[in-house]
Amino acid sequence: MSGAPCGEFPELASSYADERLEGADLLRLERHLEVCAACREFEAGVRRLRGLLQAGEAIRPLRRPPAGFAAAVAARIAAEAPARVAAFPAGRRASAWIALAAAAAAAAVFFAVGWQRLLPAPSEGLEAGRGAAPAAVAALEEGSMEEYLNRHTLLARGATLLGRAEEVEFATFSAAPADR
Amino acid sequence: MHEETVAGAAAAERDLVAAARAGDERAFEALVVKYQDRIFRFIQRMVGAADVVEDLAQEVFIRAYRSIGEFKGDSSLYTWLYKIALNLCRNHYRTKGRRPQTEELDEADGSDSFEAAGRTPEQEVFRREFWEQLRGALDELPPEQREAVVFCDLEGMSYEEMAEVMGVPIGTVRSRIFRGRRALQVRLAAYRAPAGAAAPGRRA
Repeated sequence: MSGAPCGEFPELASSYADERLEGADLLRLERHLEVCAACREFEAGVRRLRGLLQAGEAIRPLRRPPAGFAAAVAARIAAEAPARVAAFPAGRRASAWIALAAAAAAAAVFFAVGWQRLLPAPSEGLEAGRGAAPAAVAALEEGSMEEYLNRHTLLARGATLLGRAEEVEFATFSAAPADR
Repeated sequence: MHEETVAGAAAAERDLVAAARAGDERAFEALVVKYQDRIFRFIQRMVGAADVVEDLAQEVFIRAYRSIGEFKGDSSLYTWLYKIALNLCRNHYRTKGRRPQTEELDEADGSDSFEAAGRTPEQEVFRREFWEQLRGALDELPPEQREAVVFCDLEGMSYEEMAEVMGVPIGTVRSRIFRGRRALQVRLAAYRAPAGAAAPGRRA
């Protein structure tokens, strides 16, 4: 939409919320935020949105791989291995068969002994979730989830999910530039 | 101390990758164990909690094994695996779409009933409504914006990692994240809690 007042600032504010703004962009945005309540509210909304997305995963926790997952992958790889060996050039067929037999023997031993040691000990899903997004995982704790929803989203006063109704006005911000 | 540990882990991973490239299936198996949780979570975030998640996750590692010879080590194994996973997810939702998941709340694996969890029926209704609105808003995003928001706000990736995995410049990463967030804000700002679900009722 043309005529939007804030131009590139909402996009800068989005990066600012990720703490990824520096130099001249950072200075320009901070100066703008001092005078623009709409962009301040957008930036705060970006941070709230992150919390909401993480809270959503606490309601419907993601599944972990089933216990036999790694073994199933390895079994498929082992099943493919003979095909790879058999694909040797014709002149090497004999050695290919020897390799095939060796692979089969190795696979038998592997299945007998190997997998058990390699499989992770069964653990609770939440524990295993610690990694990529610690904040999301922290939100998985039931107690903090309840607090979170009570604080942010129980809308007794008729507020909208992301704060106040003014945020709807961000729909009127100019369309973002197409992918560069 | 910490840096030594990190360096040690990186060296151990390099050894495993080298062994896997030489055809050592057990070394590759150890890499699967290391990354399976993250890949599994990521696929669920991308395609929804559908029953194809396990198949897709297996396919990620099978493809990684087949092409490990092409992994040069100039990117991290982590972003390389995510690239493979992202491509498979894109193929999936291009052909199959994201499956509606609203029914799956009923069968949440092993989770206690809301009474057992100490929630009131009103809270339960609200949680469900909230979750459905969130999923619906994500599902409506153009795929590349949804990917960017998931990478940024749920996977916790840096802009550089996202640029690498999505194969686009950092400016494009910024722009996709911004447009995805703006669309989600607009969509979720219009949402209001259903009547009767709003009173939390202080728990004694």
